[in-house]
This record gives sequence, structure tokens and C-alpha cells, in this order.
Amino acid sequence: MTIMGFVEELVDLNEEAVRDQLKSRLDNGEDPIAILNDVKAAMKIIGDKFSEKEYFLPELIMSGEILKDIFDVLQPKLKEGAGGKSKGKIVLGTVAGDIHDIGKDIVRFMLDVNGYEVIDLGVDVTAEKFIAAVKEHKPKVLALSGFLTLAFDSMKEIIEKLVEEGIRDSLKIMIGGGTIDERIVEFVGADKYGDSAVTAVKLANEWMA
Amino acid sequence: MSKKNNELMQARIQRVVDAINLKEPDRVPVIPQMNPHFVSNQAGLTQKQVWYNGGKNLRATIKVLRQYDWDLYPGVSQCGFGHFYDVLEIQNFKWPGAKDPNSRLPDNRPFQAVEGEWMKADEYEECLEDPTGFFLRKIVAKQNLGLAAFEKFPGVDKFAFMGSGMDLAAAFLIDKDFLKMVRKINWYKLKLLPLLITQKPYKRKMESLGFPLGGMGGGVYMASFDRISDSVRGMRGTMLDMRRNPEELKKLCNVLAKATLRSMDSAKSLYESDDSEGVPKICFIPLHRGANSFMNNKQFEEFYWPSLTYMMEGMIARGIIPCPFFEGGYSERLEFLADFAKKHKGKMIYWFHDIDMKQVKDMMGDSICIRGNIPASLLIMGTPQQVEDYVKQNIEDCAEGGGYLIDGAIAGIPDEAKHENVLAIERAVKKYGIYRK
Repeated sequence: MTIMGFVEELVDLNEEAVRDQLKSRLDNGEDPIAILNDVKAAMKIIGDKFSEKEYFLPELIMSGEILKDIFDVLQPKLKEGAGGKSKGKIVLGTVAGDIHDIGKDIVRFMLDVNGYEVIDLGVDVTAEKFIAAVKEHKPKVLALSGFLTLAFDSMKEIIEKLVEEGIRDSLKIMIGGGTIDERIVEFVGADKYGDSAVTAVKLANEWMA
Repeated sequence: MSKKNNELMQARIQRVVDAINLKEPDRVPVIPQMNPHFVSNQAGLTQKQVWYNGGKNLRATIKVLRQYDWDLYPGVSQCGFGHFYDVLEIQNFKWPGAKDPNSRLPDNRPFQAVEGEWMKADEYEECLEDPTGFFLRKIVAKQNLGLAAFEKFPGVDKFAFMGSGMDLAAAFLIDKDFLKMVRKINWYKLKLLPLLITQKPYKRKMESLGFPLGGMGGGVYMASFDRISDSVRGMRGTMLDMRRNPEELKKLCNVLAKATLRSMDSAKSLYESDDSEGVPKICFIPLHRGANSFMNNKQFEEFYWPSLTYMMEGMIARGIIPCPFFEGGYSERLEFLADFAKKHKGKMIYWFHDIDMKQVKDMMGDSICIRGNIPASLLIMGTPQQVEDYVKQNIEDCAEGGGYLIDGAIAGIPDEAKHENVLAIERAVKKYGIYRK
């Protein structure tokens, strides 16, 4: 059984084969870190396939499911700090008043597999929570998601409060989601709009290269 | 109704009929849908008032909507719904002012649906064997704690005898939780009645002004896949099923599509609008998970499209105009849409959100009436001139030969739209959308 086999099986989302191989690799005394690196490599390929429109949401969700199974097994065997170096921190959330999370979760997945440390604040996140998270984590990028039209005002308020706090200029801010488009960027005071998770990665790469 | 207003109303209805039939009316029709919160924002009501004070909202709706010159006016929805939602103890929605703090949103927030995994993957077999029983016991009873007594609704073995009534009575009808529930539902009926009655004066008043009501006379229905994703398995569960339980998922999609058509023949839906006479019965089908970004074309063709087209064909056979609302991007699906439209020329409306309207017109404009797609951002943030320019462009791209209805891109007029931008729509239509004087 080759190591490529494991990555390929994971990329192909064959959950049983992945489970079997994971078990036999651990039984053979392999370093969990090596396995973790394979998992990361596989997730990167899955992310690329998503970018190239070969994979869609069902595949991302399936990969998340398999990943969870792998981590349940691997986590107890991993020492602290095995996470590796991240390309930078990004704070992400769906803005106040809005509880939609699908788009946000895809963005989180794509940023994550592309090497960013994503601090996901969840849904219906208030300006106060964003400000506290920005102060605590000092990210380079803030990503605001919203599906409803009320998100326009929420985003505006969040960014205005960041300005009041004097921390707006320490950040690049991207926005996206259902009814958001180019026209909203200026209104809310963001830097860029992204129409997909792929664009989110592109923007992060531009801003944090 | 004055003779003049009656003529106005007939002319408005005729415009819509012609557009759907792919004939050129005298001008391009405007038929905006909306959530009630556009009206409440304009009238200075909170959204909680919309949910809990139907009468107030109705008066506001008339006051706000009579400012506009449209060809179909929406019915009133969600007026006073808050009371029923409270009694039913609905778990898969949150709304402004809910009695239960877990469901409560602040007074001026629009309601939101809460997706959940109400059915587990290993329950498919049970569900497929007895869908009605399963939904009653496991979905309705869990999603609505006020109807939790249905959890005990007996299996068919309890009423498949000659003495079926006695058997059912013994097994369920004398159950104390069931009786308690019935008492509560009586209260619910008391509250529901005034709501239904207050819609009548709204209709009367609007018609007397020459404004026909319409747009959902065929009800509101969902694609089977979306029903399962929204309120049965959750999106995550449904998408895992596409890999792990694909046959069961497809079967349930078909079961729900068939059930939808059967119920159209026998039961009235709460969401059917009480349309003015002569308005085509349009069925609003808001699509959720069929968009470009949710799945690829192969998955769309396998899981999403078959039960949806089956349902729409059944509607067409019943004289109903299906109006799927393609929310999100559907550029990858246009071939499917065009093929289906060609088979049902002049029998449907396709409502688009984010699409190249000219491309759609070129591909299928000779077989389908197209609706849409003024962006929400434009109606909220834009200037009247920008709205006018957008509408003008759409008319240039889509209006030729009829078959075009003007509406917003997402759920019609967004809650926060500016009054002057909404007015700009009709101004543009009168400037650029005239087919003949």
C-alpha cells in the first residue's frame, strides 16, 4: 500500500478505504504527523478541484465528514502545535441579523485548505464581537458574509465601528454572499467584493502574499 | 368599482396574460413580488407589528402599494402569522417578537428559516414505506411542538379493520395529549379566521382602485430536493445522501413530487393567493439548491431536475403556470432550462436573479416568459437613474415579441428598497417598454 494511495483515496472521497488505510498506517506505527501532512495535501487537492469546478458542495461536505472521522482517530495521538505554519489569520463571520452559513462555511473551508488560519465567529455576529475578535487575534483580513439585504446595513455598521475604534486601517475587508455585489463595497466601506470562495482565496493571497 | 378602474384592471391583467402567452401586450408588464417588510419599512411599522397585527399591516399595505402603477399586486402574507407560529411552537423558523425566546428575533428583523436534520439517514426506509405517517409523527411533531401529540399517531394496523373508526379512536382520538392539542387548535382557528377575513377587504379595496391581485394563485411549492434539504435532512445530510444513499434520496424526491400534485387536487394551500378574476394561476417555486455553486450538472440532472420537472409538468396539466425562481447563478443550467421550456411553450414563467438576460432571451425567448431581474443592491443603494437605465437595458434585451415581466432579482422588491427607486421602475417602463399606443 503506497502513501499516494491514501491521498488518492481521500481525494476520491472513498470513506471506507480511507478508514482502512488510516487504521493500518497507525497499526504499522507510522508517525501521525506524516499522516496529517497527507491529509493536508489531499484537502489542498480537493480545494483545487472545487476551484476548477470539478468538485462542488456535496464533495466538500463529504470531505469534511471524512476529515472529521480522521481527526477523531488522529487527534489524541497528535502533540500540541502540530498544526504547521499558517499563511496568516483571517476573521470571518455572517453579520448581525443574518443566520445564513453555507457561503461562509465554503469560504472557511477554502481559506483553510489554502493555508490560512480562519477564526470563524459563526452567524448573526455583532459589531462588538467582530471588534473584540479583531483586537484579540489581530488578523490581516476580515471577511464579512451576508445573504439577506439587511446585511448591507449590518456590514456598514461593523466597518464604521472599526473606524471609530481606530482599527479599520489595520485590516483588509472582503465581503460576499447572496444579495451582495460590487455596488455594496463602497456603501459599507469594505475593500473588495468576492462572488465565490475561490475569489476569497485569491483576495487573501493578494493581500497576504 | 368605477368603469374606468375596471377597465384599468382588465388592461393590466391582459398585459400579464399576453406576456405569458408570448404575445406583445401594449407595454411590458410590471409584477413585483415582495416580503411584507418593504411595506412595513415604508409605513414605519416594525416587523413585529406585521407578524402580530394583521389589520394594521393591511391598511399600511394599501397605503404604500397604491402609490405604484403595477400590473399585478402581491397578496398580503405573514400578516398576523405570529400568533399561529406561537401556538404551533414552530421550531424551524425564527421571527420577530416570538413568544418563545429561542425563536424570537428583535422587533425589526425579518423572519428566517432554520435548517435542521429532522430525519436521520437511517430513517429513509421507514419514511419511504409510509411517508405521510412518518412526516406526521417525526417531522410535523418535532418541528412544531404545539403538534407534538402527532408523535403518537398510530400506524395503519390500528385503522385497517372493519371497525377502523373505533380502532383509531381507541388508539389516538381519546389520547389526552391529542385532546389538549385540539383545544389549542380551536384557539388557533379563532385567530386564523380574522386573518382570512381581513384579506377580503384588502382585495376589495385594491380592485376598486383598479389594481388586480395575483402572482401566487397556484400556491407556493418547493422542488423536492429543496424540501428535503431545507426541512427534512438538512443540506449537509442531503448532500451526504447524494453519495451514501443516492437511491433513497431520489425515491423520496419522487414521492414528494407526486404527493404535491395529488394535494393540489384535494387541498388548498395557505399560501395560495386570492387572485383577481382572470389572472393566470401562477405557482411560485423558489429554488434553493439547484444553483451553479451547489452541485455540478451531472448531479443536477440526476438528483434535482427530474422530480422538479415532473412536478411542473403536473402543474401545467392542471392549467397552472409554474414560475420557478432561479435564485443565485444558473448560467450552467441554461441548456436544461431551455430544453424544458421548448416542450412547454407559453406555459411557464422563468424568474431569474443573477443571469445574462440577453443570453436567456436568445436561447429560449421564443418559448418562455422571462421575469426579473433588477438587483436588490440597485433598488436599495442605487439612484433612480441607475434603476431606469437597468430596466431600459433589460427591456432592450428581453421585451421583443412579448414574454417579459419586470420584477426584482431576489424576492421582488427588497425590504430596504427606496421608494424613489421603486417608482423609477414604472417610469422606465412607460418610457421604454411601450409596444403600441
